[in-house]
Parts: sequence; structure tokens; C-alpha cells
Amino acid sequence: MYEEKREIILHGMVIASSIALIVLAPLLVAKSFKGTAEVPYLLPQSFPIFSLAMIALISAWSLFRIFFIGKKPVENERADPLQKKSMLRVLVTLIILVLGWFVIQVIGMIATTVLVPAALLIHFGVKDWKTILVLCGLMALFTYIFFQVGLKIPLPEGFLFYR
Amino acid sequence: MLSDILTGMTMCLRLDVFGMLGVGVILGVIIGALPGLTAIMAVAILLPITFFISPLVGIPFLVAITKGAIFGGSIPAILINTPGTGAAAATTFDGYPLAQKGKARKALEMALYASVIGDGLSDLITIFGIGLLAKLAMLVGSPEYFAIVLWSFSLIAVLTGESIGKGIISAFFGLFLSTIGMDPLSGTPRYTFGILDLHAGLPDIPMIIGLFAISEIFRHSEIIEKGAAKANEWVSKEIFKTEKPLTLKEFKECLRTILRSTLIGTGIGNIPAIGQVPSAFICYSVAKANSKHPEEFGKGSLEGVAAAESGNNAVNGSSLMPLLTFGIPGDVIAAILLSAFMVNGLRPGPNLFDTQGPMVYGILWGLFISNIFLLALGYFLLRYVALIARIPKFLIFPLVAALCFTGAYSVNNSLFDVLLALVFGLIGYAMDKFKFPLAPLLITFILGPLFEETLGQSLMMSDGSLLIFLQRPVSLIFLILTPITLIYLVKKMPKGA
Repeated sequence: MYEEKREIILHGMVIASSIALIVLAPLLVAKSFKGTAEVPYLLPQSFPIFSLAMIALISAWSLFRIFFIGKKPVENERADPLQKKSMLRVLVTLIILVLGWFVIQVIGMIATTVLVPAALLIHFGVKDWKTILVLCGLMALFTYIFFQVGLKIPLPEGFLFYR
Repeated sequence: MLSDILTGMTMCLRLDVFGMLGVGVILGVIIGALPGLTAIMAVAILLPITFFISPLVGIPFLVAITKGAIFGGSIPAILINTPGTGAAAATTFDGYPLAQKGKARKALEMALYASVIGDGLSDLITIFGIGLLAKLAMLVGSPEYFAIVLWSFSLIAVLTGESIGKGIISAFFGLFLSTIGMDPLSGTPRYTFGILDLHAGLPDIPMIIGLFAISEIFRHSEIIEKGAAKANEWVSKEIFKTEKPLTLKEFKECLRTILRSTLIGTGIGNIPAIGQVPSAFICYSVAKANSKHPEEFGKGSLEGVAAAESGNNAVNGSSLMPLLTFGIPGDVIAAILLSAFMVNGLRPGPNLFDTQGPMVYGILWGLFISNIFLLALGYFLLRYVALIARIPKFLIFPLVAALCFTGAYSVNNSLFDVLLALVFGLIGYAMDKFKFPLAPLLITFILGPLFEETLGQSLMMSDGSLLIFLQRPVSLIFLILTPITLIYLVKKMPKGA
């Protein structure tokens, strides 16, 4: 039953978002730019709307199957007891990565390649500071030598270290 | 054609090509041997590098990683009954029983030789056969292209997931994402939400990094394993000191199986969406059916290891045939390679051989040479890879995160691309959680513009009449094939899928 509920919610969300994007199409797809040629037969909005409509239709079919055809009940089916805890772990990982993205603009890419892995290592349960320092230091060194010196990519310096 | 093949061969005989092939093979074997790390993830992270080096060096480097990883996957499959990659699943059937009998060294050596022969022969068939296919592809126009791409989409959507419905939804989602940005026909912006960075469309490299590397970090962070418990159980260096090597007689007994599996794998590589895993299983079954000792299969047969390994590796070379001639990638690795070609200004398709023939053959020769590196380095690495496999994954994934950030940034020097990689990481993770396959999304995303363009061009050719697809024999054949294949595959699927 748990999986069935999850599928109903999932397909409901897929249908709702597809329909929302179809409804918003007139606002999100420009009919034509000034000076560009009109292309007959295949309008700019046809392809995205067709794709979204197909997504909504197949999701609707999946819902129809759940409600009217039904699935065989799975014996002893229950929610994974670890799920809430693991979702929390994923959320923390996401927060670290998003913060990492913000931090690039402040302290630059090289410093971020020290901070993000360090935060993740701590999050993954590494307690030995020497390991963390050595790994993150090596990562930053690798990033600098390989990307900035070797491939000559101008990595962002961040406004704190901007010269 | 022959002069292009020879020019290509001389073009790739360079030290930098050899160096990168060696690095690629070593990286691939290590990654493949670490259960949980995939060849796709490695290729996704390292894809931006190809932007900065010659395609002659960069593309064979990516393929060398794949080849190394597919062989590397057989090492834990034989030693601890855990395939490092999906392609090595069939190797466990006989590899692990052989290891239990004290013949792990023989199994590992057989896996290496079978992989190299399977892959090498498949590469040679590709080098000498691809020109003919390219000539055929030259006869194909927009309506035919549209029909072929449609047929490939249907195969990919149906074959790559547990649920057909979710596979198709994933394919249409990819198709929708490909429409973001400028319309290829009229040049008007679509679904850009006023963001200027999206006007050129969603960039494929950050998307690939997000879907296949960052999503792995999320997945891994769900359950954190403390230590690498099993790694201590198998130090293959000891195996090489105490066990007997594979004999020439044993190898000769399996040669017929290796050659048969190579031919089957090469054929399978040409069909979109099948890939290495089914190829290994099919070759294993065929080998069992034709063996003089079928009763030994599953109990520790060297023939079983040889069939599975040559079968999965033979797909590598031939999967490039539809990619390079028609521009249609058959699997995720091929789709990533397509991006690498495009980034370097090489647009796979029938014209590629006319305009860049020697370069393409140079790349293909690079793939062939990587097998020699695999043979030499693989044999050496077999002894030491167990030590590397002791590195716990919780130490690797944080470093992967840093590489993803730099890799996503480096292609366009854009922080927006890093953000997009994070968004697609989350999308990839959510899709995997809800059992939506990622391969159809990526392949339809990459082929979406071609699909739309060929449809538009066909309609313009026929003044808007859809009958054009029925009037041309090739497009008619593929249009008929599409529902037939779909119905056949749906009927063959297990109930509930």
C-alpha cells in the first residue's frame, strides 16, 4: 500500500506540473522574434507541448492502472524504517553542496574545493582531522595544478580574494 | 576510405595519445574494481577535459576509461562475487566458483584475455566496417532520419528501465528539456523563464555531471558504510604468488567461445539500447548451449568467464557504429561520447566521414590501441588493484563532489552551470528513487534537436503533409518497425512492468 500511495502522489505531481507548463506555454514560448522567418507546419510551441502532453497522458494511464486494474498486493510490504533518517542525510548533503555553490562566489573555487569535501567528509563520519586536511589539501592542489595551470581555466577567485 | 584508415592510424601514433590511453585504462580498471563507482560516473566527471585537448586524445581517453572499467568490474566479480559494474554480473556465475576452487588467478587472466580479444576484434570490425555503413547513411534524408530516431527512442524508452511507462515518461521528459532554449527552426526562445543563460539551451555537460555523478553522491550519502570490510578478504597479490597461471591449453579450449561471443557482442553493439549487460548474458547462454561441458557452467567454468567477458567488451567498439554514422547513441556512454564529439566541433552523422575522415579513424585506432594498454597494464594492475579497492567510498565521494564543481564550471566558465549540475543531480537522484531510468532522458535530450529539425525539414519538403514518411521506403520500414518492436517488447516484458 505504501508503494501504491507513493506512486499515486508521484504521478499526480507529474500530471499537475505537465499541465501547468502546457497552460503557461503562451507566456513561456515566444511566437516569433522580429525579423525571424515564420516556419510553417511546426510551430515553436508544438514540440514542447506535445512532449508535456505525452508525459501527462502516460502518467494518467499509470494512475488508471493503479485505480482500476490494480497491482498484486506485496506481502509484508512496509516503509523502510531508515528512510526518514537517510532522507535527512541527503538533505544535509544537498545543503552542503548548495552552500558550496554560494561560497564559490565569496572565497573562490580553490578554497571551495577544500571546504566542500571537508564538510562532506565530516558529514560522512570521518573524525580524523589529519585525513581530512591531507585529502582536502591534495584536492585543492590537484584542482589548481590540473585546471588552472594545466588546462588554463580561469577559476573564480571570489570577491574576498579578487585582485 | 583505405587512405583515411591509414592516415588515421599514423595520426594517433603519438606520445600524448599513448600517455592518455594509459592513464585512462588505469583509471578505468581502478574505478571498475571499486563496487559502487561506475564507468558512467567517471566518464561524466572527466568529460569536460576533452574540451581542452585534441579530440584525438580526449575521446579515446574517455573510451579507455570505459574499457578499463568494464574489465575492472570483473575483478570483484571473480574475487568477492560482487560485480564492480553491471556488465560483469554474468562473470560472477563462474568467476566466483573458480575463485572458491583456488583458481582465481586463472579466472582473472581469462577475463583479461577475453576482454582484450573481444574488444580488440570488435574495434577492428568497426574500423573496417564503419565506412560502408557511413556510405549507406549518406542515402538517408530528413524523413528517414526522423523515422530511425523515432525507432531508437522507442527501443531506448522500453528497454532501459523496470517499468515501460516510466521509461517513456523519462524519454519525453528528455525531449521536453531539449526544447528549452532557441527553437532550431524559427530561433524563438522557449521555456527560458527569462534566464539569458538558457537561451542557448540547457548545457549537456553540467547536465551529465549532475545526472550521473552528483546524484551518486546523494545516493551514497543515504547509507554511509564504515570501512571496506570485504577488501581485506581478497588481496590478489597473494593469489599471484600462490596460484597457478592460465595455461595455453586452457586458453585454446576457450578461443572458439571467445570468437563466437565477440561476433555476437559486436552485432548487439549496433542495436540501440541493448548494451553490455544483456550481451554478456546472451553470450553466456549461447556458450553454455554450444559447450562440450555445459554441466560445468555455473560451477566454475573458464568458458563461462570467457563468454561473459568477451561478450560485454565486444559491445564497446561496435556501439560507435550507429553513433558515428547516424549520430544515434545506443547507450549512456555513447550519448556522453556524442557530447564529447560535439564539443570538439565534430558532428557525428553521414557527413563526418567526408569532412573529418582521418580524424575519426584516428580516434577509432586510438580505441584499438587502448586494448594493448589494457592487456599490459591490466595484467600488472590485477596484482595491486585490491589495495586500491580498500579505500572506503566515504573518502572518495567528497572528492568527487569537488571534481563535479570544477568540471561543471570549466566548460563555459559559468557558475550557472554548476548550479544546473546541482539541480540535475537532485533530479537524477529523485528519478532513481522513483525508478525512472536516466538513459532515455539523456539520449532523447541529446537527440531532441535533431529529431525536431528532421521533422520540421520533412514537413517543409512535403508542404506540411505527413504522408512523406509513408512515401519513402526506409522511413516507412522504420515507422512500421516502431510499433511492431514496441508490441513485441511489451509482450516479452514480465507482468507488472
